[in-house]
Amino acid sequence: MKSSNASASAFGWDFQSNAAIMLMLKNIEKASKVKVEGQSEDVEITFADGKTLMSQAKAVMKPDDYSHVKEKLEAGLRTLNNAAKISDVEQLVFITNSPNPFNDMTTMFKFSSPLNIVPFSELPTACQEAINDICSLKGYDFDKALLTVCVMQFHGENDDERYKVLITLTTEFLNQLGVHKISTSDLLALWQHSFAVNASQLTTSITKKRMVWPVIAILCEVSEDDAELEDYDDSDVAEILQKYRSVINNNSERFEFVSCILSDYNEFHPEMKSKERTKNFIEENWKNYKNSFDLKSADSTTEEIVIRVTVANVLRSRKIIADIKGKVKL
Amino acid sequence: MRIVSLQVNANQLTLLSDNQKVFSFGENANVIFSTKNSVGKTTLLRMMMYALGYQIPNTRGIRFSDYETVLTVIGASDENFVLTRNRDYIEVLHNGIEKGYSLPVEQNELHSSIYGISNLEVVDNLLGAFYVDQEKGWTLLNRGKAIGNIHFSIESLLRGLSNRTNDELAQRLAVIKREIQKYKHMLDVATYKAEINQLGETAFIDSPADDIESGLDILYCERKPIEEELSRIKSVIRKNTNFEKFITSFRLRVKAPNGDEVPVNKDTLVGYGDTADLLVAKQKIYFEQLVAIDRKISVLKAQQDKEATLVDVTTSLQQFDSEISRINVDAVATQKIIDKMEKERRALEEKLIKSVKQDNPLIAELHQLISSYAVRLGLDEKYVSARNDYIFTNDLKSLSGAIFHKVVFAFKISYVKLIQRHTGVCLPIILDSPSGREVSMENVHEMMDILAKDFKDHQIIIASIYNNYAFPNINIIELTDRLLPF
Repeated sequence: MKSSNASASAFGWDFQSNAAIMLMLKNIEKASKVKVEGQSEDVEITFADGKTLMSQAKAVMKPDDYSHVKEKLEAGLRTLNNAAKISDVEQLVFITNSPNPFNDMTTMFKFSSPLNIVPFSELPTACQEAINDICSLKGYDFDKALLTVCVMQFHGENDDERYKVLITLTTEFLNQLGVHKISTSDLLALWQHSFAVNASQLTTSITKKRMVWPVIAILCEVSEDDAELEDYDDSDVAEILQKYRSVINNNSERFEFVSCILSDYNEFHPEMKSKERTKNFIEENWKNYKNSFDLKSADSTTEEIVIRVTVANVLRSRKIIADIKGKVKL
Repeated sequence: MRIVSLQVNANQLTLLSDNQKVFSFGENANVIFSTKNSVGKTTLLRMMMYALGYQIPNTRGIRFSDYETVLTVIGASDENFVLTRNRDYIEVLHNGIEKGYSLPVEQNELHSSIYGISNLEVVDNLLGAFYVDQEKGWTLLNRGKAIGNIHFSIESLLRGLSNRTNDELAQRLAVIKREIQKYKHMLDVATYKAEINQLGETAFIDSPADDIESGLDILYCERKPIEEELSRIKSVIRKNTNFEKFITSFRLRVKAPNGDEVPVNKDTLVGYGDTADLLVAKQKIYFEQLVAIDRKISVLKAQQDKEATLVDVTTSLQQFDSEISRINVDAVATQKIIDKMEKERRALEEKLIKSVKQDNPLIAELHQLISSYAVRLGLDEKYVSARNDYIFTNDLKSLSGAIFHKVVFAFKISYVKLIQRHTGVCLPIILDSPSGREVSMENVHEMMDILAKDFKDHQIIIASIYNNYAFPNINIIELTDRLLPF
């Protein structure tokens, strides 16, 4: 996402959608979807139990410009006060990229990390007082215990700099899933695009499913390091994958075929340990699936490799899907 | 062959009635004589050769192409040929048949028919043998330029006379020479390119328009496989959906172990949802990639439209520089190729010469002729070596003045003799100013004596400021004023 010459509103949207990703990642197990409302600068996360997290995202273009931070805080609290009236609100989050959200140098230390998530009770007294003053002045009566102030570093024209916090969170997310073969920046860009594509509508909602499935899809791709291929030369493997990738994909994505293999596998020696079971299953059964492949041009060795790789890919994909879904409670 | 007459016609009509001039030549010795210089002796000789169809350089004050020449010669089989030349077109009247030739393309064919010699290497070298021009003639011994750009080569002449013309070698040599020429042009381009690079004049070369164009090409290349993958995924999704709809359409119900009845549809088919979600996610990934590329494409296209509306300010020189700088030529590599080919060319030339020299009886014969004439001209053996291959000598420095003059004469008349012996053609001998500055009258008379005795059957044409030559039946053409009155 190119950020040069971004107008204030485009910058605001960028901050808002990245804040949404951040909040999703922070709540990935409980959350089920996130909605970004451009007009009102809302980010709303819905949890699996139906409860919600309401957030106000206020961005400043220049991190050292504190002249409007207090106004932004007041505007944010006003919206959050209204949001608190909706039932099932569990958390209220004021999120900004200003390192000095209270325009009070003495409290800046509390917000000096790349990402600071501070519940009301842990805010410096001066900050608590500032919030209380605004609330009593304006008559806001929301429960302060629900309020969290969040400062996320989000500056610079350079993507690496601007998205520093998001990159770290995405990497952590992938690490939790035990996934190493996915590029952090690719995945983050994919998520960001999900918001950017709909930016014109100014309201976008993204489900956890849509955030997590791409990870699964990337993991399920056949690759050179597939166990079934380790006995073959790299160059042969590269050639076969290049030539037959779509054959392998077509079959491992076809429900009929997938269903057939998974049913066969379910009945195949359930007592065996999974690694051994998979190995033996492929060894004994791959020939049964010849009819599902149309490989007239391939020699018998190539045919065998292609079928074995496909069967292995189906079984592997199933494990990955179950594994990741379990980890993020999808 | 003998020259009978030369008629020169003015191409433009003049006010005077006499707009043509005819020079007639005798069968034997002819002397074109004038007491003073610069009245046109050399011009007349050259005009004769011009009229014969050769590419002859103009002399001062006279452009041959301004005239029509009509040359009558006794040529092959002692038959009459009338050659009418107008610029580069020559018409030959022979046995009542007129035939036109385009010069210089058909020069060999023309001469072949007039001289009655079919071997083109011989035909090519005739002029250098029988015509001794005032300027270059007296310094041409065995190879070089006879006049203008007309070459003479003793190797080529001997090759032709002994029928050893090696077309294969000659063709390869010609090909190599042509290629060397081309590589030299390439080198010029490389040098030019290096020069504009050095001057930093290439900054504009990769114009924004080119950048956009190649950027778009790359993007379209990236786009294609993604688009294909997307459509593949779509078709799998369609197949899965159809399959699910098919199954669901039976409205099957199955019984679970706990006794519950379960309808068979997309929600209950085990693994169906996962397969569908997986495909949707894949589609999403590729779709995002496609969108990103399309975004870049539309940005570039917008730029391209903007570029197109700008006025093209590049000059044709800039355009040329730009094209040149895009040509991939490497000066060093080209130079190396040229060096290599030059080497090959020299080797081929040597081979060609060798092919002439090997076991060729003509060499001994020619050497014998030259030696005997040299002796009669009073030349010492130290000037004309006893070794046969002396005739191929490159060493002209050791010869000087009168001696060189005599050696050239000996060589030339030997060529004519050799040609006569092996083709039967009696060439004329045409000498422009045989009495050069350092040659004594005595030497000239020695030379003329040989011509009178040994070349009785040959027509002799001499241009000179003397007319005291002792030839029988001598025909003197005296030039008094201007050669051509028009």
